[in-house]
Amino acid sequence: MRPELRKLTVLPTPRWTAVATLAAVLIAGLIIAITGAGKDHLALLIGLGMPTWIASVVLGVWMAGLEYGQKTMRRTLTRNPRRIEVVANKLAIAVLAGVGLTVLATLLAIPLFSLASSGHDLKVAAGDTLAVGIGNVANNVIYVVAGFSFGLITKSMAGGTTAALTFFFVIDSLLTEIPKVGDYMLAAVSVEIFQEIVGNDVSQTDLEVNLVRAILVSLLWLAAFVGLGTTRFVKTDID
Amino acid sequence: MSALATFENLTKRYGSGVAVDDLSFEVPDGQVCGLLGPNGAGKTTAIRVLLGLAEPTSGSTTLLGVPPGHRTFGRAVRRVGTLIEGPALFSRATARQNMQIEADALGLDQSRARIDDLLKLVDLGGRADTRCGSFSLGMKQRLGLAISLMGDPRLVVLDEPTNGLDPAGIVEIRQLIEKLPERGTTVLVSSHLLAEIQLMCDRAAILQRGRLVADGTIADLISGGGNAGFSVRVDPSLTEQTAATLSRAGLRARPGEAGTIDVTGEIENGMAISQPLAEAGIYVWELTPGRADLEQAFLRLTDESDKEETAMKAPADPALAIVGKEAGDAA
Repeated sequence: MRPELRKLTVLPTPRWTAVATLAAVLIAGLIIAITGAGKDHLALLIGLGMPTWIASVVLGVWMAGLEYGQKTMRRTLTRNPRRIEVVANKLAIAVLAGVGLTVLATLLAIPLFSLASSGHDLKVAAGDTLAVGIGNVANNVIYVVAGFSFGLITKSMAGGTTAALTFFFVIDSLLTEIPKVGDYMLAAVSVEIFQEIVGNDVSQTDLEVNLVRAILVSLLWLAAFVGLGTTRFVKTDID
Repeated sequence: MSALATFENLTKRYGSGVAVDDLSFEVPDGQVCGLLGPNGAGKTTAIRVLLGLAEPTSGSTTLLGVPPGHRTFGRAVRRVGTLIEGPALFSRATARQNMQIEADALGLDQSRARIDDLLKLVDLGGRADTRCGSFSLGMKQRLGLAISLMGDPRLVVLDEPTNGLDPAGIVEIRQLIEKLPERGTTVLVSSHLLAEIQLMCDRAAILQRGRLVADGTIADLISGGGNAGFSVRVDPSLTEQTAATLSRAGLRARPGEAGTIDVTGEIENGMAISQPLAEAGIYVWELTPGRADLEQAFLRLTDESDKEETAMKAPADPALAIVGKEAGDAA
């Protein structure tokens, strides 16, 4: 796992992803200070949730796609030819990075949003920000793993990012609208998990939550993604 | 002498194409062994199978005695340095960071001094903290070689290590490779540059269209080409007549430019050429002994392999060939 950790710390993409995410939180804080937090906890959902969500997808895809872009996969595999172990190590570091960045962004947002909203009628409570942060951690694990899998499946960073964003923004969102089938889509179950953690008031949703089913469905989706990516990685020759 | 890498009846197909065809040879311990062949001969594919990066269609390979897929293959491959199809570098990381990633992958601690030594060895000591994306191709190749030497490997596998280098860079890499056996490192180096293989290798395997054409020490391969023949220069207007005369004398004559003819065959000395020409009234302007080198041997061996392949493809009965031709014509 050490070489993957080294890549995470010395290569620029994770660093710039972190900078962009924290900058987005700072800008959200600035907007709250100027205009107020707004209704429906939008400041929390967009100012904290959206940047960490995108960062998680990017970090997941990057960890898998990086090696193909740089043509370093053959070097990685001549140091560790056990491909499943390579996938596991990379996935663990990607999840660690996604969770770490979400926690860091949340720790920045808690005092910042409280302070920024203090001059307005609608205050952002530290407890609400913390709850959204915890909800984001749970959801972002899903997005890191899915992003990582798309990177492995497409063998490309750009291809993986495009595939992941298309899946989440278009395919998954559209299929969620189909009655009954939609309940089993990743977007639907991740919102259920989020609502269960942060509560109806903050999440601004009023779903009938079945947490066990939501977790199981999420795990099934992730198992399918990781299984597909790993199978392709294990079964194909490396250029 | 034990073999550090073996290929046994290795075949690798991609769809209907054959990249490597029934390849068998060994890389003996303590030597610099060349894998020689034109582009597309199957050298890189054979190396990728050896390192476990590609699955063989049939046959097998071993690396330090261990086949890919065996539970101890990981340990074996970590004792092998590799540079395949150019250096695999993280271009946004510095030279030192690239080497640290390699050291981490090999589980090496206290690697800073070792990294500095290796960077000095490849003349990159002063560029250790420069991002390697800004390096020239030669510098990248040298860094790739330094990375392949991390952890004092028993064997280094270098695929076209001099690709894209200028003449000075080629000499530098060659000198580095030649010194590796002194450090206890065996080398398998693939190249299509015949002169380089001849200069740096103790032995070589020659591949053509995925098949092994010849395998042996460089000296054996060159001497196996027979004598290198002679180059004859005559009045350019007599080139064809000269070639015909020499052919009648039982020699192989290949006309070149400006009255030059390359002559090979059973030639004890220059008289075997000058005498029949004098008898035909052709006066020789120059008679130069040919240079015996790997290039000559390679051309002869691959030419023979081509002829054998053509003969095998041709129908055994000449009548059948005619029937086939007529059938084709009729069609």
